[in-house]
Amino acid sequence: MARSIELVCPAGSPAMLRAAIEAGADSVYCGLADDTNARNFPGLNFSPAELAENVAWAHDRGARVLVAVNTFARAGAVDRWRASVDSAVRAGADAIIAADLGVLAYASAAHPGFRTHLSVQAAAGTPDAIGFYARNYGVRRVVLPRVLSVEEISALAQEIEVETEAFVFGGLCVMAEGRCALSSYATGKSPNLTGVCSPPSSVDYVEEAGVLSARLGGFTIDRYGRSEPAGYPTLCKGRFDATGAASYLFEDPVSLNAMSLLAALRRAGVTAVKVEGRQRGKAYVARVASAFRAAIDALDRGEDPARFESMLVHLAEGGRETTGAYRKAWR
Amino acid sequence: MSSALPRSARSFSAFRSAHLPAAPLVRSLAQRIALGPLSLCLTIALRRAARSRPEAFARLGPFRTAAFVIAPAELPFVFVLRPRGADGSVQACAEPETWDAKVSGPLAVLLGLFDGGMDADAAFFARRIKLEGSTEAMMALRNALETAELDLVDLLPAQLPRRSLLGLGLKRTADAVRSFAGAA
Repeated sequence: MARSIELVCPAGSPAMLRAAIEAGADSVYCGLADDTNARNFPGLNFSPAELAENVAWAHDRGARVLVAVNTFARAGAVDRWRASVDSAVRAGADAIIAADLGVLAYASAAHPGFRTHLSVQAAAGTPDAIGFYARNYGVRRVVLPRVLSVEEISALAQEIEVETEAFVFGGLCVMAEGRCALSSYATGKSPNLTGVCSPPSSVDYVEEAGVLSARLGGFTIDRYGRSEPAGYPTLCKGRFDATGAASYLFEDPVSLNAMSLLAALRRAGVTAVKVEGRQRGKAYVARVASAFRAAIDALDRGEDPARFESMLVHLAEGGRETTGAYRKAWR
Repeated sequence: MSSALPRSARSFSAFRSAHLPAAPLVRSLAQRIALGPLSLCLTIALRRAARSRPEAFARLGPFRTAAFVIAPAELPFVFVLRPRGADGSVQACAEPETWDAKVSGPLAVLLGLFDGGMDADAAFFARRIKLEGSTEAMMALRNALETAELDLVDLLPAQLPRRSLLGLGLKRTADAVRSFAGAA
């Protein structure tokens, strides 16, 4: 049965890649073990040899592998980004996901015809921006910023020639991804150059009398009561005192779950739906891929996928979910 | 001392208090004797894993020499894991004064994290596990274990009869306990 929408799942490790595909992912995305991708966590990602081995494994099962080379190349060290592109091509990957103009230019010049996807880190959400990347670098798909509503996506899809990929589960970022000045302020490190917005070396959790304090770069960014679910130590999801009241000033520590919007996203012309979470692990991706596989298949059979929604709430940051900007109810 | 105790028990209690004080040294020695075989089995298992999956242990990077404390809530001792590749060790003992990273929680949850059956972030969000010390080191350990794809059977001695069956039993017991406790 031809599937109407592609399911793209994270693969932070070979084990996670296999778990995602065995659970029904059509494609997986991964990165190499360095700062050329935006999940440069200790012990995460693939060596070039592991990548080649697992691309072959994925292809044997009819799945595709997309390689993220999506951080912005450091001046004077661009060879590392070029090497990552070359490794992805040598490994037989199906596409690279990139944001940097130089990386895109290199990929199109050195490997003409090799498929490139535009990373969410490029923050391209208008027909003009997307068209620029398509015309000049041969980009074939754009991963949409997580700030567009379904209606905006629908309007956009009608004006562009490339495929679209929309996040449907996992962590949310409503900032200029990879270029967050908040992270830099707190940690003294660039989220782009370290490949993460909250470097683990800057994160501390301290529990006293049942109260858990999350600290980033020495700043206390949240305190969770004894039975309160915790969240990631990202500054944008911190809770701060302002005008005498503590609240989440930027966004709540919740997870995106847009399963209820799969039909709407399909109608809007979205080619692929993407799950965030390369840093999570195989248990996470197996569960999420299974749920979204079941939901998409149900949709393709003309059934309502609603019954699969509740499968994932225990995986959500803070134990809570949101449809994010897809439904801008605050307007 | 209660006068309700029989005379023989009172005598033994008096003897014990006089000649076998509950001194830390004696308690420590008793623990080492009792936990020695467990430590040895787990150390052998660790080194076997390091030999068979060197690429997984390479992911630890600079944290190969770190000391990780794994503290099951139900047990009166902790496990101190020092990866160090081929000469790594696991010691079941009282919590040391210094360590680099510590994770504590129900044993069934910790076993689930070990074999990748449970999502570590979800367990943390739900406050089922507690992390202390170096977040970076613990993350490296988690990612190394994930790549190693170890199973509970890997904790058992290689020559143990019916090893696979025992390992399966361990896993099913841990899964059942987690389900009963409502842990995902």
